[in-house]
Amino acid sequence: MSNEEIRQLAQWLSEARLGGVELQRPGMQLVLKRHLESVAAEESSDLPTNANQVPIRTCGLGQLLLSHPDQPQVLIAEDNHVDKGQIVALLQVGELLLPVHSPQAGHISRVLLQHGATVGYGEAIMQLEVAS
Amino acid sequence: MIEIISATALATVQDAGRSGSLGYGVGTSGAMDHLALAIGNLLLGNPEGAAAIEIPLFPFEVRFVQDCAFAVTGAAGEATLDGQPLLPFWVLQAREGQVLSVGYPTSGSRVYLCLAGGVDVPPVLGSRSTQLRGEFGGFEGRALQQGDRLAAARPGLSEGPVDFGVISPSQALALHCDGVPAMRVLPAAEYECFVEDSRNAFWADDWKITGQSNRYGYRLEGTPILPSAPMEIRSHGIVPGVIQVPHGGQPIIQMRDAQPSGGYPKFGTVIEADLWRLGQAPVGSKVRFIQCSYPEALDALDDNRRYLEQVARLIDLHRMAPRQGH
Repeated sequence: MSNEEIRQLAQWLSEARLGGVELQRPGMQLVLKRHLESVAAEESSDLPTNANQVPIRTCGLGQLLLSHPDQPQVLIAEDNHVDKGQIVALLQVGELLLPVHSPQAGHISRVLLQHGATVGYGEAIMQLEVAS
Repeated sequence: MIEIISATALATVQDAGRSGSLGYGVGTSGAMDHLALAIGNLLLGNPEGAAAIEIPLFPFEVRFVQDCAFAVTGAAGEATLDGQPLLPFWVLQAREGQVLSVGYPTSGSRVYLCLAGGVDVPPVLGSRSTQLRGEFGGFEGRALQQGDRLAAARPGLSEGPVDFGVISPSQALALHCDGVPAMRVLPAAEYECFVEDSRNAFWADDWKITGQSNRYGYRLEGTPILPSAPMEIRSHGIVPGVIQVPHGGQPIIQMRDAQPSGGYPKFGTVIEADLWRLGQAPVGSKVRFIQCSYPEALDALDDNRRYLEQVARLIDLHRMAPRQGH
């Protein structure tokens, strides 16, 4: 991979407001991370900082799916209860579907992103209200 | 090892099929949805030809007698592991004692339960597929029954990644005609012996999959296909996909358990690349047929292969990624 291509990737990351990218191929590993403050500044700043409100974050980058492509209903809706470890969304990377699990039990107080949104690593996609 | 706890009939062990024995009068058998079986094996890192359980009737339940990774592919519907929902085309680690329940599909008609390493039954004539007519292959040459115990070739805790899925073939390789699921068909030897109106209607009309449809063949219902003159032909070799037209003009499509010879006039052949679509078409549903050429039929096989290769490549990359602990 040339420097030119890496610069292009960095440009795309910035345009897509993604926090970073990790590429692995046999014999090659590339990790690009954007400056955390610039990423954080772009994130919606109106998230409540209440201790009962826990963000559910992505575990990689891809396209965010709130429902499975073969199923009409959403995996979880606002105000729904979730168990710890329950799949609340999917990340699509090409033909691959990776799960986003709820880190704790609680109920979904807000869905922050839309179905089909391109997301980066560690981006908050839902707000989880946990019992205090 | 798993134990069948549901009493629903006709679930069988199937792999990619028993090729090379048609000359002995032994049909191919094999999964009605080859792609679903192939994806299940890719998700588990199984050998390409590993066998799975094909489930045509629901609800279907098994208990894991020991830890085992598994994948559920094919028709999408309600599946749960110990009550927790399981997504379509998904791979998961089951622990000893857990119960997998597969409910009625909301789309498609056959579900595949794939086990790590494949279902461990002895191969017969080079295949683990159940040959129902000959009562050999698969699990004791018969459909599965309540209480049967089947071993996985690679039980235990999975060394590869679990808890992920892939985009299904019906999404990745969608094919519809006026909103109706479609299959591509090559005209066959006696095609020109049917009247022009019938030939035109065959391509233009919807066809209903009747209740007399199973692994042996599908009987369709629609505008009768009429010959220009009565035809009597000698029995000859036939393969899965062949569309025969008996007297009365309601066609029969031979499927994976078809006998290797027949004598009805052949109108066309559903191409190999699209047989999985028919394998997933539920009884009572409508399908359409699209005329295609031999080169187009080969291109369609290439499309299927490319999809499987792409899925395999992404799963390999996922396997290399650092594992997240839970």
